[in-house]
Amino acid sequence: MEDTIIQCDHLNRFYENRYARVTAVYDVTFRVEMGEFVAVVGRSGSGKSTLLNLIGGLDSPSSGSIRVLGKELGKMKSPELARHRRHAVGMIFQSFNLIPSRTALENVELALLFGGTPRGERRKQAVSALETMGLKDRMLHRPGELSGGEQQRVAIARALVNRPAILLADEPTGNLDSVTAEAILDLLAGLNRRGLTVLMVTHDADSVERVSGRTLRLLDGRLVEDARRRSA
Amino acid sequence: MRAFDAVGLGLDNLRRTRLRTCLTTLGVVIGIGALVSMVSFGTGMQKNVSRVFYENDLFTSLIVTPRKIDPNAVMSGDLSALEQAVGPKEASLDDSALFKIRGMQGVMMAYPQIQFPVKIRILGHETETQLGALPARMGDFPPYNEMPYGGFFQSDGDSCLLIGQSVLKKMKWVLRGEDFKGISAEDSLRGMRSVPPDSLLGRDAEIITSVMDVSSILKNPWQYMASPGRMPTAERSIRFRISGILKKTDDFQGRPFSSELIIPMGMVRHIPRFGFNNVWDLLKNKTSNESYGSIYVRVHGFEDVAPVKQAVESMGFGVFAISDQLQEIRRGFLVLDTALGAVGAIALIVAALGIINTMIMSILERTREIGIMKSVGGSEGEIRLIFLTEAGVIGLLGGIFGILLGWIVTRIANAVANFYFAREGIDHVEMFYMPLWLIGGAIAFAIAVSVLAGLYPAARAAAVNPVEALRHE
Repeated sequence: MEDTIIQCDHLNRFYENRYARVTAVYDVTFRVEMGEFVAVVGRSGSGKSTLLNLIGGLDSPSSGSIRVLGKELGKMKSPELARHRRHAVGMIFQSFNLIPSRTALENVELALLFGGTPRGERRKQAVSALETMGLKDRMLHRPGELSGGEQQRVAIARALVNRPAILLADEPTGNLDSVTAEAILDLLAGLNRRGLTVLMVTHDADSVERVSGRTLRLLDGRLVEDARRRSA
Repeated sequence: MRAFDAVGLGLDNLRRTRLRTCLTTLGVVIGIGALVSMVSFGTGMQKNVSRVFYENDLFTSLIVTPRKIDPNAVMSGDLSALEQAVGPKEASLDDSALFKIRGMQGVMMAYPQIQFPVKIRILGHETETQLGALPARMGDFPPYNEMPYGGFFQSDGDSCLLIGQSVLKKMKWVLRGEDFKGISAEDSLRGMRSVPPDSLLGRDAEIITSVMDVSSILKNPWQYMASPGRMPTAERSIRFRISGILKKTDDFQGRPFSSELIIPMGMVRHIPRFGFNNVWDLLKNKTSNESYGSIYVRVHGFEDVAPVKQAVESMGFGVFAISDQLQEIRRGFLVLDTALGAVGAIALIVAALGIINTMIMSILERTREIGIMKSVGGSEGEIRLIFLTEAGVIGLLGGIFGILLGWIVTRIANAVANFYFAREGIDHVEMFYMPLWLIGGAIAFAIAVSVLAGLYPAARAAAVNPVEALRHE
């Protein structure tokens, strides 16, 4: 139990408007241990991204409980959730979500800016994170001047610059060609081997089989399969 | 997030939309420019009026009149006040009262205000004006301590005369002093001529007064008894030496009296004249021949005004102190400044609407960016701070450049106004005054208004749903 890093119990997320109620996540219960690489798979609209947003603190559950690093997210106020997003988790997205008008370095620095890191230290850590991603020569380029794979690596550098315990990846290879996608998956696998817990949403279960040790399958918001591979 | 970083981020964001930022800031610049111009006009007027008051040392001056009059009550038709003003009176503003006032604590000097109409004749040039008398001690105080030409008389018995420049002008003379700018063609046609001040100093001037011609009455008393309205008059003349030329007064009538001819107090009794000369004389105690129309009292300091005033009033006399009007004057200027500021503030309100519009547009464009900032740990407070900082920076820049614009506008307005003043023969006037408090206040006000205008957009930005924002194209 000590190693449990994410714990969801009877988690529900409904979206309501005047005309309808949509169930995005329904009664989902699972645990993720520290150092696991978990793939969340399912068809479009199955609730994968919603589940990731709930764990990332971008969204709040309608009912049920999510505990990340022992803290209940459902009870957190807005500033605590911001701290959770800043320090506990790092997030990467299918569309990279980099600010186009800022350089790779400035995009990575942005994550440190909100933590109140002094300018000099911020620059040092951002450069180090980009160097780790092999982007030493590309850090002064804007996202538009980088390839898809490079942009995703900038996004990973930004997600990890605050040294979070968990990396939440929402379809990180969705916009990449197969070769680049393989490279990004290898990168994530390498980070996982160094102790980072990775929770990756993908609709392509086959591509993650070789890197993830566990697959959570969602169907219409319900968790229908929780499969672990011994070989992983 | 540190405040310094928020400012840096705000500046970065504004730099990215230079044109829009410039146009929005221009609105604030115009608003602050208008505000500063208006208020600096008000403060300029206030400063000019205060300067004249201080230069004439009016805040330590009191005028004692034979009876207490409430001018407001008289003006509003209060009959009892009018009766009190003209009715019989016990206390007499005579020499004994004068000596009593002189002996009061805080009183520096007190002397009767004597002023009557005369003719003056110099080298065949003649004009009519008011003649006044002052004690020689007044030469130590403004405005008489700084005579532009010549000097104040040394003793009360000197046969000296001080002459004002407006009197000279009436005699078609313009002094060829340091500030002489030539005579316009129009004035030249009117017969104006320039004279060096030295040519007047030491020269004799004839003071001519009218008196009742008793010998004519004695010759034919029946004629004057039949028509008492037509009394015979005769002119009497006495010579004085011009010892000094007074400062220009800018037609300001606030000094102890408005005489442009001044002789020593001791010389008054040598000038034959009618028994009354001004309105105060009519209020004198009619039972006493030696009472005065009014007495000028000068106290040592501003703090002596109230106790001396109270003491003199307790003697049954009326006292008029300019300092009493000071509060009213200040209140008047405050109203003027507020009214002028309100006109300028309207422009600033329009600018504030521009800021709101610009920032709302900016939020719409940057929705995804806001989502990204939230996803990497930006809190609602930090997002709000970024947008408020941007608004504040617009306000700061608008304030600084608005002050600059206001300064340029006031300089141009001042130059234009003085160009016309010069053509009318009016001395140079600084119409606008921009004190430090106005500069600091205007910048602070610009920032405050901008931040206030940014509150709603910033709140909207902070409330952006990060999940929806990240999907925003």
